[in-house]
Amino acid sequence: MSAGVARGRGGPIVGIDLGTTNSCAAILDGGEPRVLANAEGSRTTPSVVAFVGPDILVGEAARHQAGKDPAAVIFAAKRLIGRKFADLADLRRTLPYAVVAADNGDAWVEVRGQRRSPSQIAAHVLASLRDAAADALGEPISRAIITVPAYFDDAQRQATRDAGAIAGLRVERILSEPTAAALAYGLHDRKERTPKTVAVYDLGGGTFDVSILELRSGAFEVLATAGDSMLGGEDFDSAVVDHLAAQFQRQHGLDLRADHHALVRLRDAAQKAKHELSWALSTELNLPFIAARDDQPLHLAATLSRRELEQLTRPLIGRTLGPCRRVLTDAGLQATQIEEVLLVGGQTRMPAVVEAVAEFFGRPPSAASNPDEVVAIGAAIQGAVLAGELANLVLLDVVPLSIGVETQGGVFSVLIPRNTPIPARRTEIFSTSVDNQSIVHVHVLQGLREMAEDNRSLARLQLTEIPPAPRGVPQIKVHFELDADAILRVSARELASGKQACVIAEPTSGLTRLEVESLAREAALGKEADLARRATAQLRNRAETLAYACERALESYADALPEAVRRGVERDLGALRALLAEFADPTALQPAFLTLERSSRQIYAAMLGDPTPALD
Amino acid sequence: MSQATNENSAEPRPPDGPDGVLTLTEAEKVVLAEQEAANLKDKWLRAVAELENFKKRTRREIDDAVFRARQDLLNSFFPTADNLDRALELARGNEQLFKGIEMVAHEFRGALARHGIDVVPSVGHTFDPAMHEALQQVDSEEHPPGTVIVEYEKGYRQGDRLLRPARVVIAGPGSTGPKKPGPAA
Repeated sequence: MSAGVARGRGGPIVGIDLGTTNSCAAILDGGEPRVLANAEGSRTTPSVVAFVGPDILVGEAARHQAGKDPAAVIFAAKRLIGRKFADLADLRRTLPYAVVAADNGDAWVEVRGQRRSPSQIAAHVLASLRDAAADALGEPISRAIITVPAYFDDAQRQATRDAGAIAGLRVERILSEPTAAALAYGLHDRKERTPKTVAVYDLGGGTFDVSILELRSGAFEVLATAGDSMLGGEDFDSAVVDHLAAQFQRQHGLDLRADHHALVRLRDAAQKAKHELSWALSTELNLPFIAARDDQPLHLAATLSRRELEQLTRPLIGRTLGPCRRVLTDAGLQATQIEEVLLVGGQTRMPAVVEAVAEFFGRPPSAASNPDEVVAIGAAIQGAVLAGELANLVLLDVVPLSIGVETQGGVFSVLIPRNTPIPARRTEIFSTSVDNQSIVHVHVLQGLREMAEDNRSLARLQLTEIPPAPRGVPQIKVHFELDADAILRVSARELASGKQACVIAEPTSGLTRLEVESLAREAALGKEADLARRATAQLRNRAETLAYACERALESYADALPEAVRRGVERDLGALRALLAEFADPTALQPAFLTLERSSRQIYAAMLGDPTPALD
Repeated sequence: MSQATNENSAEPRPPDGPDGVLTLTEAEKVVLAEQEAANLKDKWLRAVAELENFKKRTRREIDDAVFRARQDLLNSFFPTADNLDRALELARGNEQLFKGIEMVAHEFRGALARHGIDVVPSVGHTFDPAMHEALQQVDSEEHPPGTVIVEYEKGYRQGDRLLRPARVVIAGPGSTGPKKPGPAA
């Protein structure tokens, strides 16, 4: 097929940017990237999942639940995915929901006594994006490319992959976000033969990442990454809110931040002002009736100039430059050696951010019209490549952290150094440390520290039935294989005897394959039940609304209605109310709803002064 | 291919063309024509299917674009209506002022209703995250748990599509309201 959506043989491949705050899905359609809007018509979906009784809400509706039941609304699950409970003490204190330790030490969440892995949470977000994409394209979606930060380690990548599998998606590739951004900016299309060094500056809603990529004849290599996982556009909003609240307090002696509703209005206004100041030099904020004192209303009226906003947020922009310096040091480069700078994330729309980046790197950065969509678009381009729609593009990622094994004395021996391009293979020969040792433990770790215990454990292998021999004689070949998704497979073989030894690999992180499969099955089964529940809820809502409207109409127009009409509507209304009160099932509710809908039309006919037709 | 087909063909093979190029037998021509027809039919079917999909997508995209444009426009006016509602609350002591503001607010909602946009029901109804945004939860003596008890800002919708959720306060789990959810006050 010459045109159409990137599909290959197994259906279309959707590119998904699974973000900390928001997620986005895109596809390459006839060679053109297209962002797929969700059911509410939004191009990005909040990465929020809420548990409401038996129902699971995702996105905007889940966010609405936050004020009602904050402990059951899970946001920013990306900060937990593939991580250990023990490593997250600081983060846990900032989250309104419960983070617990799973049996294997992973960080999971707990809602009303039920434990769920962050992969399951992410799977709900992915499933929602998948359904929206299927809806937009008019065909089912079963394949996806999912992006992750470049610094995600093996366990985090694997956990993200698991999330895709639970959502019933075949994850064709886990792609690094900066690589996706570079693809979206079309860097792979350039015909330049000389290597090119690119910096990707990504300031999103809640996180900041900066990466340095090298582009060499159509292949990308991530040279280094750095960032601040607790810095983003929301902090810019807060700076404006604090400024306005302080100003109001000076004028009226009242702290608006103490009033929940006033704070919500203030935050909305701050965000709107911030957006406007990306193109205007000055904006007005008017919040009449924001508070009251002695029964007298108080109003907030303020003008905010771009210069003021820049002063307020200068420290935040300054905080992004530390990681920028660090990433250059790690890559062994000077700022002047960076040949192109790409902007990603909504907050990079702010002119002061663009200026700071330009000043730091000594060149104006490239900006896309929708910087919050470029990662998803890049993933969609990668999807098209895998589907065979785009040729001549190789993607080379690197290992973000060194991978190795624990050797005698607890030393971390690196087999695959950080920033090795993947896929990669390494084989090394090890031996025993005591005489007649029959079992060898191979402890696989990832990290940058010298001692094994300071690094992150990835897996443990056990090599048994080693024939008795003096120490240092047996030869044990340990083979590391890192595939294009940075997923690691380790095998160990005892060579000296030529005898096949038994190897057991037990991952110490994430979900087992069986768990993932069973969760995917549950999700698929649960879907039908979910649909039925949703249909029931919708019918109930429509019935509630109709009953409410009829009650209101009867109150206002009862006198204008002919007796027979009024009694007919009242009877049908009573019947519907009774069914609603007893939570009747849809088979009973539906006919009562339709009956009232029919008879209520008489009210409107009477209201409009039409000659009243007879009741049926 | 010409050779193989020829052996199975009933027709005697005509001599090769004057310049030594092999010519096709009638049977071969039929086979090729049928192949081409099948090929074209397949392409045609795909093109028709693609066109149908394209039409559907385009229709949906137009609907979405119209809805979004309307949503953007209306969302910039809703805050004005919110402020009218707030002014109304404060004007309760002054009958004529109250009435006047009420008429303005009424006029605004009447204009919306004529375009099929109505106010999301909230107070007295069960909290529905699809159309309500919960700001707070407070225990109530008049409402059962999970009922919307205060509306800070009205929500609006067009048909079953939400333009803006209503911002509300909900009766908390400690609420001791009447067991039966009564009709809205």
